[in-house]
Amino acid sequence: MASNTPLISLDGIRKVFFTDEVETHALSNVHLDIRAGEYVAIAGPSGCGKSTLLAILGLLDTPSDGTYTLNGAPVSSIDAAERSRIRNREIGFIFQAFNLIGDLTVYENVELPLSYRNMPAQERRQRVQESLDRVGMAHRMRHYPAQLSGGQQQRVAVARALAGSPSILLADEPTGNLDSSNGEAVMELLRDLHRGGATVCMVTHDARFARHADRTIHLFDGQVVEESMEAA
Amino acid sequence: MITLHNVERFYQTGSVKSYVLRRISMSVARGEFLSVMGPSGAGKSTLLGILGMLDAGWNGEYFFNDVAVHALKARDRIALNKRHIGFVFQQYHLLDNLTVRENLEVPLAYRDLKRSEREALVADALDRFNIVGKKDLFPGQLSGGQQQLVGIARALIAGPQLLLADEPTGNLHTSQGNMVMELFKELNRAGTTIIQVTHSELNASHGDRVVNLLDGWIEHPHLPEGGAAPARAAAMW
Repeated sequence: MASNTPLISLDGIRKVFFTDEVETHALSNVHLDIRAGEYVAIAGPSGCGKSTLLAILGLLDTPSDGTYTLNGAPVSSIDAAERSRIRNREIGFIFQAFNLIGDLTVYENVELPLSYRNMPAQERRQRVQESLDRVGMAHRMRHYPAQLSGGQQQRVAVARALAGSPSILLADEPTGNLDSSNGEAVMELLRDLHRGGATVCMVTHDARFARHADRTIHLFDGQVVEESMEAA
Repeated sequence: MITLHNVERFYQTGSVKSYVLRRISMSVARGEFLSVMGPSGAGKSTLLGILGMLDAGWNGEYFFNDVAVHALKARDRIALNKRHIGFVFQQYHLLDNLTVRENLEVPLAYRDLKRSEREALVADALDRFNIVGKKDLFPGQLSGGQQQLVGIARALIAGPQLLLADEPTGNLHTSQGNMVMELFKELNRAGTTIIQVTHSELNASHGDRVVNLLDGWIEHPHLPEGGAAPARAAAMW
């Protein structure tokens, strides 16, 4: 499934924060390629720069230095409107706290990323339906998030991430708010999606979950310290 | 605006029914600012979920502007909620991958509006809540108080008659919490009916009336000692 041209290429990425004249190097000189169809985990202790790296990958933040190429196009220095457009199309987000909106139904939550596109209603409905089918939540379409368990809510969040047919799924500690059996079920779901061709990049501090990925990038103090491959 | 008559909510596990709400009868008039109080587990959030039509698994009668909500199909209930009710959540419920401007646009996606109308409503909300300067930032770049301000702006953007808030200041510092309560008072003066769930006497003092819940029942503190208790005990068995 994986091809040779990287889907994502980070080159010499640095991120510096200034607070009261103190310079914090959240990321220093990070190089990272992710090919289409890969499942990559980014692991490391809290404060190592994982979330900053994920924010940059997700076009939620810009690097202080370095270049980011997504699908062959440089995206490190494009304007905010263009970043929004690319983010909405290319990236599916899965968050630790699910990030569902409580007064929207399951269906509406999944439809959200599509509502920013000029897509015919019929196609939208079909995409929402398909995404919910893929995560096994189609029967809960008219429920509200509070009527679901945590594991079910995260499945809906995964469906939302899938609905826009993004190039890559970015998952930030997707099991952090779940008990271990629900956590395993979400991991299993991500694996299934990966087997079906999806590119997945997951941030986790938990080495057990990182093992689900093909490849793990270990971050420490803002630097890549090690890369390991999971035996197939 | 709202009348509940003998509303009950229970969860069934095997043959055991556990009640969350018992025989709730109450009315809320247009223009009121009501606080629902009570200890954890009293049924406050469940009640708010029913009032907001986010829950369907209850018994009893609920009239909203004379519409019998208990008789509505899911589709119509959802449509009614969209048209008239705005929600504010303790955890803000903003989408972390959308900017402030995009978050405000979310409820408008479910209305039949032209792009230019949507943009005008978003611009108005940014102005009204003084967050124009934040429009291109993401929730993670804002303080809790600012995030809740965006949450409130989003709840109000489609011009609801009723604002429901579940512990809206629960994650905020006192000063930010007071700011939110002042804002609620202003909105209420301008005509929005508000029902908030709160633990805080101080927050409740900003509203005109308090409903106290305990173990799923509405407390009636003014009933004579011993007057209501036997009836209540009888109802339980």
